[in-house]
Amino acid sequence: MSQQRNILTGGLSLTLRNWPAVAWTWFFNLALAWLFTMPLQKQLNVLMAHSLASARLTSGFDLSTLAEVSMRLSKGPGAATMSGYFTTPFYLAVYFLIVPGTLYSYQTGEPARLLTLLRAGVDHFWRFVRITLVSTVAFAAVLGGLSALQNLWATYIDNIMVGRKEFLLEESGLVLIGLVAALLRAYFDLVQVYTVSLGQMTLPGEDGKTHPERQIRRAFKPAWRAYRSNFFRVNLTFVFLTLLGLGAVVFTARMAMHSLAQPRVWPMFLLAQLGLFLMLLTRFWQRGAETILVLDNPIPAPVVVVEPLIAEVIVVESEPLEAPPVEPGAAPGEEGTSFSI
Amino acid sequence: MSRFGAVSSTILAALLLAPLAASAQSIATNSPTPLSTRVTSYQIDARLDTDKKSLDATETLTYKNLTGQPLTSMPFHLYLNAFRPQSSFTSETHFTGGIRDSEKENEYPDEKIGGISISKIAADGYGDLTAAMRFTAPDDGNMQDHTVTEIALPHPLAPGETITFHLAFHDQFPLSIARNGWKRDFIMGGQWYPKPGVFWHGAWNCHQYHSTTEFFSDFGTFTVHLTVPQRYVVGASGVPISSASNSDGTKTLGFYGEDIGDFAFAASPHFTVTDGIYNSSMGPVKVHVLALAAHPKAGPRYLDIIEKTLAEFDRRYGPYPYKIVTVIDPEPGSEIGGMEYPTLFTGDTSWYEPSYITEMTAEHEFGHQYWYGMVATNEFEDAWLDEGINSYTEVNVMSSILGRDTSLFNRPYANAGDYEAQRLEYALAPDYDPVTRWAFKFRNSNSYGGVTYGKTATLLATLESLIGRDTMDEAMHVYFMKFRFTHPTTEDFLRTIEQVAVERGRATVLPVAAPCAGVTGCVADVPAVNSSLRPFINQAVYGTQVLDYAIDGVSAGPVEWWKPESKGKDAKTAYLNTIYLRRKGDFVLPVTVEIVFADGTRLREQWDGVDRWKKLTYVRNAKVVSAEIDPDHVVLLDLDFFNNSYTTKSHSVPALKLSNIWASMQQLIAQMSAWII
Repeated sequence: MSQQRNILTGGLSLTLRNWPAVAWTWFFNLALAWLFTMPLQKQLNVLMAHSLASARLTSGFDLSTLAEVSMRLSKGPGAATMSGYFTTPFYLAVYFLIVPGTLYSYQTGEPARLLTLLRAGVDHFWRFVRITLVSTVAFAAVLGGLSALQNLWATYIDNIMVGRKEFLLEESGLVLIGLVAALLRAYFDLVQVYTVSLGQMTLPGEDGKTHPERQIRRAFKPAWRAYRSNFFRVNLTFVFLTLLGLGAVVFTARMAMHSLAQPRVWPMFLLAQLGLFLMLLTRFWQRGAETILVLDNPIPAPVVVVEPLIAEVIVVESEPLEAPPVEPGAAPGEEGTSFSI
Repeated sequence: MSRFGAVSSTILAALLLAPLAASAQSIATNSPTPLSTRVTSYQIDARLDTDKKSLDATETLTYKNLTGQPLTSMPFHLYLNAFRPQSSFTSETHFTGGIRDSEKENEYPDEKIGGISISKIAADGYGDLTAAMRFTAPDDGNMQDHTVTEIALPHPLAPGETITFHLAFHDQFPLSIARNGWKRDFIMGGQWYPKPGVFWHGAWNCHQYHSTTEFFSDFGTFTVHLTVPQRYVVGASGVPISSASNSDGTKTLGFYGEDIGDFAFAASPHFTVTDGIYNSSMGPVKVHVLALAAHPKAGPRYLDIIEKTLAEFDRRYGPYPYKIVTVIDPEPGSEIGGMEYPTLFTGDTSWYEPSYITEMTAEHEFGHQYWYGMVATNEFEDAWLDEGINSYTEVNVMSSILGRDTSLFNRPYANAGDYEAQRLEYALAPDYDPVTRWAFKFRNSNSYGGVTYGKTATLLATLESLIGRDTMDEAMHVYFMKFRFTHPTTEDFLRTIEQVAVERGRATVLPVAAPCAGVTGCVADVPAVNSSLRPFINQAVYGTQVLDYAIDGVSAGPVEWWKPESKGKDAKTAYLNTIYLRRKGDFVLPVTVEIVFADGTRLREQWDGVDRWKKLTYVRNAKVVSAEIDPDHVVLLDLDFFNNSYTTKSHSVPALKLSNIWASMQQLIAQMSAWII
């Protein structure tokens, strides 16, 4: 019997109960960004710390001075700004570990301690890499085609009109692409959640021993089933939370921009980090909502029928099991989400 | 006999004198008398095909030989032929960059092909000259260029005589590449008719059209009738003189301009009109703005800035004598924005434009009414005299109207000034070419832009700091009033500044010429005024030297360093303060240094800047706090402002501020990228 809980509130509850997952992710992103910004800061200090010309960036924000700084940096060795581009790949590597760990904590109720997150992350790492490869191909195929159409649309619009109307119509194409991207992302999110769910099951291998399920392909079908039967619920929640996250970033960025001219940095820093944290929180909220959905639509447990006289294992699907309840703070293994046969 | 020859000489004379008679009434200017030596007189009847983006016209051109010598040939500019892959313009744009469309692709779209063809040319008393036309390529020998054609006259045109040409020509406008052409249903008719070269300094001056060059022409009168579809709104050089509806769904609009060197028009069905009147010192000037309906804020913005700019130019440099100035708001995405023509120019804006780029562009293009339109320098050879001087006056006028540090962008959280933008443009390509280099001989388009616009604006601002703003303003005023409606040269401009500066006691006359040897592009002839400004001029104008002075080191320590430093409130320790100044560039300029001590004392020192470095030492009961070269921030030619000063107290806020922005951006990019997982 599947349940139909409110995935928006349930997801939020799950996310807040596992808040260290968001906090660690935000922390790693912040730490990596600043780690790779250090060379730049050092170079900026050499240029500006003892120059009176930098006063125009202290008690104001003179864009010309900023441009001059950029020019000076571009004429330098270049390593300072280049190092900043390492943030993303390193962050993605960390993200590959934290996301499965987070989903594991969401599903098992195991506290989202860093070690728990990383251990589960390492366990699921290659499965998530494979899912990402598949999703990248899907994104490229669908969004690539849509982007080509968008170019045609933009050219068509550009040829017949100008101004605000043109801008809005052109952007509407981009919004549509964003919407399709969100639909795709929501589906692959479900695949990830089901993959973690499958990882908690064990099946007998050819050697007679039991192994955790590592086949990601087994997650696509239940993910599709859940996605299809909850299409509007899933996507409305996903899009709403995406917009909420983007809105938080835009709002705080705008507020941070208005503190540019202040002779202190911390207001801008706090506002920027608040926005980034909220954006991250909404992303984890989406994961929480999807987890609730998956828990309400569990994978049918495999039933192994062993015929004593026939050395063959027949696996058939049975009726779905009851969704394993997630109790806040419940100890691992108590929910009955592992099926060892 | 040609069909033109069938017209009787009497009728012809009447036709030719018509514009001259009209000019006596000063239809188009606020002057009761002609302002220029009118060498040419044009009568053009053109029909615009807005579907085919083409134009068919007849042109009657009267040219008066005021050269003092017989002319055996006449060259004509055919600028529209530049928009072909074979032309020098396109080749240069492709290989070394253009200031508009880049043409980097290895194919040339058909819609970008433009051209002008003369199907017939005849001259009264000379017969049919069509067969006498020959394409020439005086600059690079590219015979496929076709932007200049020359007609050998069967017999010379005597000094003081006039020749009347009758032409029939066809234009095909290209999808806009630079300055003219079409975009959507908008058409800009610039450089669209056959125009003779200028007989200048004893020879014809008729350069090919290049990727970085603009134009040069004689003054004259224009009577132009344009036939366009009824739904089109047209703005053109000069004043409108007639409008008639035709039975075929078209209308014919007449325009008349005098004391102008060129004629342009713009046509669009989407123009909305915003008009205003500015009362100049010579009379009322109509500010006629034709802005796209899609840019509802553009009309009022253009009108406001042009009225203020008119007032500034009137006050600073001299009166605007024409009765009208037309502002065209071109289609977005065209390569037509920000272009000047006599009494008409194009702006550049969009439906959302939160900065002052709209105002800056309009001001700049209006400024060309003075520096190009009236002071009609040779834009092929002395581009700095129009674009550069105009950039300098743009900075001053924009600063006056919108504030020095806020004339480009003004928000409570951030700002930007135009003067810095010019300086940065110069800093991107400071030393490849002198400002006096011919426009098409620059290393590339970046150097042309950086030096012609940015460096000139910056060097003239620096010169202003040397002789004083009042003196510079007066020199500019004298230059404008003396050389308006003529074709002055680089030395005309420089000598005017020197003369005024000497008269005002801001410069002295030197007994011998300042050394010029080894300076790239330096003129060999001794200037009429050999003033104390020449060393600056030789380096900044004729040379490529880079100016960069720096504080190389600041230190302070007890004079009696071997003794324990006395403590306490009343303790007095004598410190040896040392400041090293350094000339990092090859540009030599006397500089001012300000030294600030911990007790609040400020000292100003002068350094002739000749040696590579200089040491300043002070024994005082206070340590040096900071040292700064050019404390008034007026030597804008200095390439690096950051090394101009040194303060002993470290300030971490600027670096932290920028680092924080950078780190936050990296975080955001990382989080967005994580969407793939």
